[in-house]
Amino acid sequence: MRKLLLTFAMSMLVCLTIQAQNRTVTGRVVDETGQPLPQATVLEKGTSNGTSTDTDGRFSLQVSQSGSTLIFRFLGYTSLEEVVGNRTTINITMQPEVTNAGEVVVVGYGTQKAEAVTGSVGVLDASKIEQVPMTSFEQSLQGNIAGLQSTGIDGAPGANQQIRIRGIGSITASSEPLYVIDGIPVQSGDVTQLNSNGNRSGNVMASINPNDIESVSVLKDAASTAIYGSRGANGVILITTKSGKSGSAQIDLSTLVGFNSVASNNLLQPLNADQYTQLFIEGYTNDGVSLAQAQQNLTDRFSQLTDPLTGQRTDTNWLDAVTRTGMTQSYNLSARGGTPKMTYFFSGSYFNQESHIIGSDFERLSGRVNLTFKANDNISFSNNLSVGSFDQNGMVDGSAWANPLYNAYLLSPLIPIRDEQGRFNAEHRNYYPMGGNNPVGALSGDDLRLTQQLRVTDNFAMTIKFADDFTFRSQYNFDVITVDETQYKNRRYGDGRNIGGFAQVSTLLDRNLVTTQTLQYGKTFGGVHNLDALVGYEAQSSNRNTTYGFGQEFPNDKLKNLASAAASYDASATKTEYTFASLFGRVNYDYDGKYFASASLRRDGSSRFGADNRYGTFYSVGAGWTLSEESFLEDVSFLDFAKLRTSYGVTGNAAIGNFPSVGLYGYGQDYDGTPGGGPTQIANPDLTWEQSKSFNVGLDFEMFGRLSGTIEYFNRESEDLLLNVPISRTTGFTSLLQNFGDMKNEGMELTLNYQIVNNSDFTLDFGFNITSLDNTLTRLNEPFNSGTKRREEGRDFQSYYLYGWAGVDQSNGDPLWYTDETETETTNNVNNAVRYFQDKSATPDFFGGFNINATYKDFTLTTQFNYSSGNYIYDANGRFIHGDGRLTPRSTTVWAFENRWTPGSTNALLPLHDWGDRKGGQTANSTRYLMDATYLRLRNVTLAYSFDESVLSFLNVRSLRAYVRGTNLWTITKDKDLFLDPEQAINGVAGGLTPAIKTVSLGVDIGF
Amino acid sequence: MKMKKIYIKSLIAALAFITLSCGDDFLELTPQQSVANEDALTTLDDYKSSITAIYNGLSSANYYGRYFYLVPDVMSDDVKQHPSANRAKDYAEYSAVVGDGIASGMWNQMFSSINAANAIINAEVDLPASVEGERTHMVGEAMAMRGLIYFDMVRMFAQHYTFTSDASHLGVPIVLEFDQSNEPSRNSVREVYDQVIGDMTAAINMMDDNPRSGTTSTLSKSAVQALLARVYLYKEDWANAESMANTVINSGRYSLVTNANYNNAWVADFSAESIFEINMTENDNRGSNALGRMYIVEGYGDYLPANDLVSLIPNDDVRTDWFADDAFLTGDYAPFRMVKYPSVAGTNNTKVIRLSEMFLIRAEARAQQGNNAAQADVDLIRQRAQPTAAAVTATGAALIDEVLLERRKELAYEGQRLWDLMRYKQDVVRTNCTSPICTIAYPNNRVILPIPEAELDANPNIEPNPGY
Repeated sequence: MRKLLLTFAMSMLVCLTIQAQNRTVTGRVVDETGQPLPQATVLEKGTSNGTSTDTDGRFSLQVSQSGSTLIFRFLGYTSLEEVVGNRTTINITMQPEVTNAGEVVVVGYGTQKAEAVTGSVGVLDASKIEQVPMTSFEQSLQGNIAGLQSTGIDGAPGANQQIRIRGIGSITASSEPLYVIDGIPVQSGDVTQLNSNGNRSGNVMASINPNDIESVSVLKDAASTAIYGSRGANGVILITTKSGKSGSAQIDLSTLVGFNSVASNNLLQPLNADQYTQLFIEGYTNDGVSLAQAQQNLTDRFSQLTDPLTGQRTDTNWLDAVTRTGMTQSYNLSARGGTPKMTYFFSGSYFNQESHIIGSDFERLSGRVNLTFKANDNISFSNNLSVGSFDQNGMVDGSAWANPLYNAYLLSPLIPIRDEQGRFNAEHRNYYPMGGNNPVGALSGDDLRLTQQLRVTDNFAMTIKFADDFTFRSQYNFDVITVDETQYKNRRYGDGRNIGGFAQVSTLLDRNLVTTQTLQYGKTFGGVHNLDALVGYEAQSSNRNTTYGFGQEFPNDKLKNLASAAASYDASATKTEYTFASLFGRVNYDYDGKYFASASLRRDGSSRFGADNRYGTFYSVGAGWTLSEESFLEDVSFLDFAKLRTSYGVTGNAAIGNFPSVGLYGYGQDYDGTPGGGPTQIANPDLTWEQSKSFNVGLDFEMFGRLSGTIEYFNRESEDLLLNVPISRTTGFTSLLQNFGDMKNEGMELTLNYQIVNNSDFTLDFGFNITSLDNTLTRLNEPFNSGTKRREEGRDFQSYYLYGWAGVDQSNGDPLWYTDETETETTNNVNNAVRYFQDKSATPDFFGGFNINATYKDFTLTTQFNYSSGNYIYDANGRFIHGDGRLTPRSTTVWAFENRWTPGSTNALLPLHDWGDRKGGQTANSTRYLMDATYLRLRNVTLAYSFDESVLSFLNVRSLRAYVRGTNLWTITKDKDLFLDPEQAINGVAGGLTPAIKTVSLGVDIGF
Repeated sequence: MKMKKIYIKSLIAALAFITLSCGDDFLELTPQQSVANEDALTTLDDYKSSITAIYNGLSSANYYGRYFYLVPDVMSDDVKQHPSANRAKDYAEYSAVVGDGIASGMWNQMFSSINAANAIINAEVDLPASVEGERTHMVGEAMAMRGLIYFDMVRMFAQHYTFTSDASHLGVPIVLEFDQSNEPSRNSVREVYDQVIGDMTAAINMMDDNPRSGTTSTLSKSAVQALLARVYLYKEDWANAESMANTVINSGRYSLVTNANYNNAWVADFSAESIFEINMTENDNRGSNALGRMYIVEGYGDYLPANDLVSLIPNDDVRTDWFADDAFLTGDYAPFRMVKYPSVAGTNNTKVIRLSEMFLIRAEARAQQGNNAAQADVDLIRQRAQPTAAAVTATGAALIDEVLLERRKELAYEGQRLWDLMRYKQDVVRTNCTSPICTIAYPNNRVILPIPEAELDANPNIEPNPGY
């Protein structure tokens, strides 16, 4: 019945139009492989007269006159114009768009034409990710996307990368974006159990082969992230993996070999034996000990003044002994192609990177199969399966005594590396209070610190097209991660020395199941009204199990597994889980590619939210206007394209822990072999997600045929921030988690691309992006200190709040502090000084990147610079490494040696060296340890040569390219004396982690 | 048409499937390492695990596991610091600040355990009559531990009882039930002692003679009596101190270990004279943070025995075995390490109270009351350690000094020396001194810990300790 009506209506329409039209053009639209393209738009130019192709790609359209032109459009393909002339049949073969221009962008639950996007989406394509000598693709985002701040906290291979999209949006909960791979919200970050450095050394993303990635979309504003509801507030990173394309197989082999060293040239150097001896004696005489006694102390303490290995005087450079030039190798083989029914993408890769620290390395194997299969015209299936496995050998870091980079400075050069028997020296444990560590031995394999990860991700989808305009997609995903950690500390020296060595192991199994059902409706009405609507349902269940074991007393140091421990002391296991159930929808409408409107809505329920607040609704609205399509801009000849867009919406941050709202008794408070449990968490049934209200307005433009760019303003107001509000400790608790604080991030982003020269032999492009960011805490019940910072209403979240270091009293070498923020009076007693705001923050004033790319004939030069300005870093280990001798008799650095006060000094930077110093010059939270980290870094420079056709045909290959690449090759800092790598954690606190790696590599890519 | 129907059917089926599978139950998850408050205290086993958690709190490194003994000892004249001393160094040098981590760690731990004890004491749960006796004993344990914690807290964070004539000086806040918005002010020291005595007295009436664990790792009735004897002593309620000590001594449950077994009793668990000790098992101990490891060379070795004390112990006294030569120590630091708690793994139990202290409490109480029977009590302890020692003949003030000397030796490194000095309003005078500060004159604001800065910030009603 319905069909009859439809036919009737159609025939009415035909009857009505026939009077105005006088010619019928028919034809068929196919893709480059000859497959029909259904739903392609066919439009008569300059009119609203149009139609779309049927499932077989066929169309039929009445045109008014013979001089008319037809426009053919299909998502993801280059639009074509054909003059009709006197033809009645026009068959069209459309070519896929080269996506470099980002014509189609991946957005939440789908793709969208770039010109139709009303939100703020940054895109990084494969060329910026492939064969970068880094372990994880997030490292390539740095400096490439406006508004995205990314920093390598830990330079160790395989370590985590911190990312903030448009600033920090939370105080207590996570500020990390949501990661979505091929439609699955997945686990990200560090899930290791045994690393105690604040989730910095591990990264579950490191199992993903960056070469498998087709594109990364960074969703920045509410219009683009609201479809992710309670998890959209910190932005969303969408990763799309490569898929097959029908046609003959393309086989690509990429190889890269590189050499790694430390990126910063200015890092601290340890003392030599002469310097240390001088300082040792001076430390005692400054303490009132006679010179003779001081020298006696030296002989009493150091019993190994002759190095057994060399027979010479002991003069150990511990830093040299733990560093090296490491190697990076990366090999990737892939094949992509397909038939009209089936497409495929296969890849296999091997990646191995050794850090500049001996013993620290990362080795990955990965494989992927992405398949699509068209069962018939209406039903298709796809499955993306990837497996990645890596081994990561790390080092102890942070302020642990065993940290080799800490030992390198604190261990005396008067301690030999090896003993008389040629073993790693352990004698010094009796006379040198650094936990008896021998970092060279520990890194040689005597100790073990291994993380092994296996990650399997699969998503299976079925797509059904029906009733012409509807698409139903049913997707089932799982993401399984296992992380296995093994640590061993040998029996002779270091942390295992007193207990016969010890081993600890931890395993983690993380299973994440997601099912998504979406129904999409897309139709063009009257040729100009384009409507695209989507509704969906998603359920996610994620659970995690961990086990832990510890044992000590090992028979020898050859056996490092728990099985050999004579005394098995501890074992534990945990389980935790969370669920989400969500309904969502989106409507996009545009009128003739000129006016755009969009709206999205999501209702999320989660086990994480309090019983009284279980469901939340999130939404966004957006609008766009292509100004350049308007007649009043037609005369502005230099303007090729201009589009204004704006959005507003509310999203949530549900990264608040799994059971934050429930009053809890925690167990494991055991005693005397009996299980114990007591109150560990106060109930707060009102507790819920944090909210983010984002406003965005942006202008996209192209002019003079060579300049394009985007300028954007954003204002992101985060509300109901979870805050551990301190309460009286007499309650038995230190704080109560509440939805309390508000914060604002406001800023501008500018992205520019300029084609300076473009002729057949020579091209020169310049790209640039900059983001300014202004963070303000807008509501806080009362200010509180958090480490080096103080959170106070009206201030930047990352404002330092420190004692004001006033240098050294040049008359006697005393440390001086300003008594208060007026900085008028100084004192040599820190108890008479107060902490105050320095108007310095860990948040940069602005940051970004730029690139200059040139091609000359077959040569290509690409460069990528990153910069950050106005942010300060705090050297957390400074008070130990530069401690004025407080900790007897630990060594220090050449910088401290050269800048310490000695009698007669007039411009000493550091106080006098006094063993057991009681002046407190090394008091924590002092501007003494605060430094300007403004920097510019040459992140990437690549010079490539592509061999021409004659070589290719001789070798019978499709393409051949060779290149030399420098990564982190050159760094300049505003503070010329900065002795730390300027790239530190987002919170600015440098905590003794591996500094960034510099890599020089050679690569060859071959296409078959 | 037919095809379309199938699609729609399968679509409906799929939607129905997912909707049904994901009802409200899907979002109702329960934690698996923790139990919601309302389910946490419903059975006798729950009482057991809740009580156990309080003992676990006592064993924390911030409490009997380390700092509760270490901090007052490094402030006293029995300890000198090693040049590499790091932990608690600010107390050894009397330079701690209000934001000090040890003070807040101890304060938080103590109140966390008090909250756990309050939850047990205030619980209203119906249990079968057959287990009522067990429950009563455990509630008694909770009250005893609340009393003990308040007694320890008022010693650490407030001046001693006789600092003012009526003990009206600032004590600590008494909190007897959970209220997350409670911001209490400080009770007087007298009020805190009244609370402690009330809790312990009630506990004694509720508890069984035998400890629940079968060893002195948990409290028994006589263990609480022993603790109460100490409370009375510190309160200078000599009559009650004597009578409580007498009760414990006469209970016949404990006996002094012999001279030959004396040092082994420090390494072994649950000796014959142990009344209550914190059990550090192989599985559950403070590891590198153990009290002993602050002294021994295999540990942090931060602190050394001051010759002030060592020289008081005659060569033939078995207690000289607490001191081991260390050739690496020179000058003022030479010559000994303190090895009373020698376990490298940190498995030495922390002795909270022992029978020998009961004799010394009785001796002090008797001496204070002019009763020369105190001489015999001192002799018992002194000659046990040094059989050749002459019998005490002193009387009056000199007898009190003999008792205090024996206390100093017998209870060394058990965290009591500083408070003995304070109770008798004496200066701390360090002769073998490696600290920048060698004399601490009485009275002194700095012999107690600061009320932690975080508490002062969060609680407008609490008064800070003067001098911080």
